[in-house]
Amino acid sequence: MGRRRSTLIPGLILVAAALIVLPLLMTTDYWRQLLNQALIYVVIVVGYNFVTGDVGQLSMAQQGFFAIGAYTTALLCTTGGWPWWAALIASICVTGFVGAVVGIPTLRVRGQYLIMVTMAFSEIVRLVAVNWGGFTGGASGVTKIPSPSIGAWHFDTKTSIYYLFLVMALVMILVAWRVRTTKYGRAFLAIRDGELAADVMGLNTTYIKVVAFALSAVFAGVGGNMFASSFNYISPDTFGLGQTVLILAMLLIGGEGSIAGAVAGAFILTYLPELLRFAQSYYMFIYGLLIVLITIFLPGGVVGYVRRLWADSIRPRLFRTPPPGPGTGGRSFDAQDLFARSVAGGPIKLDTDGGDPAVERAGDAT
Amino acid sequence: MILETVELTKSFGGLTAVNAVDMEVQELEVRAIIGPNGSGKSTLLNCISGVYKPTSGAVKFMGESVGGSAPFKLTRKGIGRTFQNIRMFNSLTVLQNVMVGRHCRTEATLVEDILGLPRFRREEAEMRSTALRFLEFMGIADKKDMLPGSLSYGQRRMVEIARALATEPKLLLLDEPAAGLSQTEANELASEIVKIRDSGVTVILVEHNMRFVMGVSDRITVLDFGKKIAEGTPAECRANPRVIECYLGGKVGDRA
Repeated sequence: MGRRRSTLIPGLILVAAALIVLPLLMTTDYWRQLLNQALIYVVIVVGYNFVTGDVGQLSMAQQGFFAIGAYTTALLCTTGGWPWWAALIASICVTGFVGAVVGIPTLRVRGQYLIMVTMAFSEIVRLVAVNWGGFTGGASGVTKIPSPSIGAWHFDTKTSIYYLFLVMALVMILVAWRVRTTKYGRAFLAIRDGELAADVMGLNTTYIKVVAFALSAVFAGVGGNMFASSFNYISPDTFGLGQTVLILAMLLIGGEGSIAGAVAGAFILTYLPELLRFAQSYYMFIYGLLIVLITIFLPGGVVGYVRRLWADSIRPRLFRTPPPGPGTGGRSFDAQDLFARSVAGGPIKLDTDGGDPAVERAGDAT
Repeated sequence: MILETVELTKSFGGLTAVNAVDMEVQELEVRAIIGPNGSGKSTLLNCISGVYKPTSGAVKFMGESVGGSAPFKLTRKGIGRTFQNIRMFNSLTVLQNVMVGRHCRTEATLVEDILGLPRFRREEAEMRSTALRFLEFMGIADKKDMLPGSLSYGQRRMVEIARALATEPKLLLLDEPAAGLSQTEANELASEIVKIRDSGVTVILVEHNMRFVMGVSDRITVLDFGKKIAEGTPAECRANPRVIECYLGGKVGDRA
């Protein structure tokens, strides 16, 4: 445990430094814009992971909530004249409420039916935005949305918005992490692993699924607020079916069921099209192919692959510990004991020496 | 009387799996339900735990009619259960599995959870300590940080029972708890079940392993083709000609 912490803190400092320096390394405003876009998707996909990764219900509604969050902020900040932060709170409340109301009937169905129902919801949101012209601006959208500002602080450059969004994304990741590591997170995974067993454990599975759904919606609502206030313009075109597929692809490629996966997926799929610019008209083909290949060859996504790589080959070489045996997740090693034995000489084989408590315990099975 | 079924019937299409079964279970007894394959034992258990909705008849738990309630509501009222084919939450550790069983006894909302308010923190600590206590009770606390997939079948069975106990049942339903266990493991399980009963929980179990049943139960209900054919102490059932007949398939009763 001790060593794990000692690598964690310098690691965190390194990551923080990298995140602070990142926009300064980007050469054009366009690339800085992409950075902000990636942070928006981080928030949306981390939220999406609750319902689709953790609870395992394939929802296509995230983009609908994204649109509702964006329109709430856009309309309140323009016609409503609200300050940005008040519109953010409004976006959170509206999407949370709509998430719960939509979740109660839809989460009674599952599988392909849930996909259809949630996809229909997202389409309805888009169609309302197109057709309710007097309120939403119709097909031409909402323009001149003010940039984020809190009191006297105005975030009107790409770099300043980046720092604001970085804080927002980190707060949302922290929220996600808290939920994930406490009773609701356990309940989400329990429902995915066995809904009947979860029911018999006294969990109101429908209620917990609705909680996950509303929570996802809130994250999309925050993402919508970020999107509207940083692009200063929204229109229904942004919120088409392609957006839904993109959000799903981010989660799958990053690695569903993990916060790190959602973050990685958001960054990868925001920058991938840019990195493939050289391919010109072949770019969609290569982009699609890469997604197919990652889905087939990297189950658990990029993060799942990196974790396996870390556990099986990088970590053993770095720390001279053996790769973990099957099924013994999250083991900790006694570093001092390990050091003593490496000094004493001879190969370190915890499994046969019986030095590893987890292995020892597995050994005395009946 | 903790549980009573009145004329309880469950049919699937034309097949009547449980046919007008009357059963009365007293508080703090270990009741076994036995019978040949397909005699309706598991169906009866599923009707009591709310997994199936009875076609007709009543299930009364502590005097209250509960037939057809959702399983999670029955669990909150005090009926816990395990499954014939163990159903673990495989992505959670052993301790977390049991903590899920505590969830229904906590009240903190998601907002309290995210903000880390005192009630939530207190409950989370209580979930952990209580879950650990039940793992200790079942003698598997040393496996708490392992994933269910790396445990033996018998150990998983113990975790599943600990998880059911964590919901604080007054009545615990065990569906073939000794299936797949060695005789040694089955003996250990039998002494655990007696311990559970002595701690104040009534137990109903469905089981095929006769040695296990005869050793552990106070009373036995015998089903055949969905009907109750006998009920009594293990000794009475063993001597009952109808029970012998249905197990041996012959007409022993006629010759006796």
